[in-house]
Amino acid sequence: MIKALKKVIKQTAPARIVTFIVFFIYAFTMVYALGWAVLASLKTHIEFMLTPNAMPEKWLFSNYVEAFSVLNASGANMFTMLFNSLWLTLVNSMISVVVSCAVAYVVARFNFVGKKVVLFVQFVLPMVPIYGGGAAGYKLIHQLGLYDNPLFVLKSASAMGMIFFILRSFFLTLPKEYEESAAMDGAGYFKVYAVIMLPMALPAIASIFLMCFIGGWNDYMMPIMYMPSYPTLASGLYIYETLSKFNINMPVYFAGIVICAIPPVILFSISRSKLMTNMSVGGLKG
Amino acid sequence: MTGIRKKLITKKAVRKHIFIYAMMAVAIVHFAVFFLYVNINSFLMPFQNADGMWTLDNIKLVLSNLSMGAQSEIVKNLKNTLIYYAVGIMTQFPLSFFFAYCLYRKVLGYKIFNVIFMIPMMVSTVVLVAVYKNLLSAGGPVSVLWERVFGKQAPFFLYDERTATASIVVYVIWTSFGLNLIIYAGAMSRIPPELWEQSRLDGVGFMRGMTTLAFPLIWPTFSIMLLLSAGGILSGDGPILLFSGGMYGTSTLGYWMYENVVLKRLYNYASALGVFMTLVSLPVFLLVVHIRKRLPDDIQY
Repeated sequence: MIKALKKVIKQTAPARIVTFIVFFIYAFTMVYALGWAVLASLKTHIEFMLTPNAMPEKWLFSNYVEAFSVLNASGANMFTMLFNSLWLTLVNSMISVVVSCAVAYVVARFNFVGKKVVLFVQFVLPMVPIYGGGAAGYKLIHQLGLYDNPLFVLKSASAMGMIFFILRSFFLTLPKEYEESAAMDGAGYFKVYAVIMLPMALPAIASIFLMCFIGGWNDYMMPIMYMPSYPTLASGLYIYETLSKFNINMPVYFAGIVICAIPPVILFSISRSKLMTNMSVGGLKG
Repeated sequence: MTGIRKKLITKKAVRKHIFIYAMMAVAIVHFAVFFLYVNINSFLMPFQNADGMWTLDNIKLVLSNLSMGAQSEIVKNLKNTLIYYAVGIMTQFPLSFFFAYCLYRKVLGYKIFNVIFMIPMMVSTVVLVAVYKNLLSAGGPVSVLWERVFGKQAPFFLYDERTATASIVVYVIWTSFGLNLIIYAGAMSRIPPELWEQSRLDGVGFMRGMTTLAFPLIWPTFSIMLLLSAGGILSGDGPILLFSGGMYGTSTLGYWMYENVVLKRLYNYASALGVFMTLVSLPVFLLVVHIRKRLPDDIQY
């Protein structure tokens, strides 16, 4: 066994060995931290205070049930937070992907009057550092009556940023022949887009949607800033922790933390390999 | 005949343009309202008071704050912001690229590392900060380890002005490998395997392959990421709200903005600082754009 290990080490480049050691240390800290949180969620409050780093004496899975009744933010319990997380994330992701996809498609596949302006807006403007927009944007949300209003999701209807870049890159790679033959068969522009091109772009769209979903699920700033009466799991847990600073049942709080982390971890684990291959900005010249 | 053909072509072009602008209509309205209007207003608001009357008070207030030099609240926030930006650049570019390359070249255990390195992207910052705060708290594993190694009581990492920012910086590095790793790995996965085979036959080793093959071939991706971050020199930010609420000398310009806009509703004063930040970061942005233009766009093969 040791001989075999020595042989492997001898055959492996030193750079690979050093990289492995660095990666191993980094991975260990990450797994340890999350494992520590899971174990903390299974203790009694007193046990957590006295021996935070020890294994639980008795594994208290009831903390997870208790989390649904105890954890509370802005009058919403954990069920409500879970529901808010779901609908906000789903609707936001859907709007964002649909709008970005439409713009990315026409920019990638057509030449039209104003295309240069669109490309300038997409490539140059987001990079220009303008910092006062936060205050002006917040004021505008209030003026439009979108503050603390479910219609705030309309703000997601933007086609600027990373989603556009990735989808445009994908649409650029699709062969022209499909569109041409569909057009010869009498299909209109929208039909070509909806029936031919969209299904072909589905892997990229699904990956983007997943990224948006995970990002939205984990976002805590947007609900805190704009939707305070609709706390999501991420923002609700922060609010709960801040408001009950000295009266917090830490294991139950950690149970909530673990519950919040589970959906994106499952989603990501299922789709990891597809996600890696379908995400590309700027493409690769060949 | 030519007239009919011309008419048909024109009709087709009109139909095409109607389709194109219909597809972009929602995005155009959104852009006009939430980008154009907002950003134009952000340049007007510093010269207005809360009632919309023209004034220079906000600009004067920012200037008087800045004139306090090192004691200025804005200067202190600026210093922290630049620290976070520098750390962000380091992790977003060389480190993330190196990590992505090693995973792509299948270092030992790459499958499990691939999943673990994505944890910061999968799990909410709220979750990670909560865990990190407790790991560093008195009696937590980091404090215990500190006491064993150094033989003295561990500092209150997050609650001491001398260590708070450094502790948050460590957190930022610890958790910043998610999205960039995916993007670089995605770009590398499109490099044809024959190129790697050819380079192996030419005696190109593990590290040389990174600089001579992987980097030039994913340059288009890398350069877009570089440009996207060039404008954000003053948007470097740690999750200050979750960690300390700006206490213990940890506040950044971003958090200062949040405090003044969301908590104090001082929109015009915050916008005045925004204009100042724009003026400071614009030359840096222009410099990066200039350098980017001088470099080749991509490698053809």
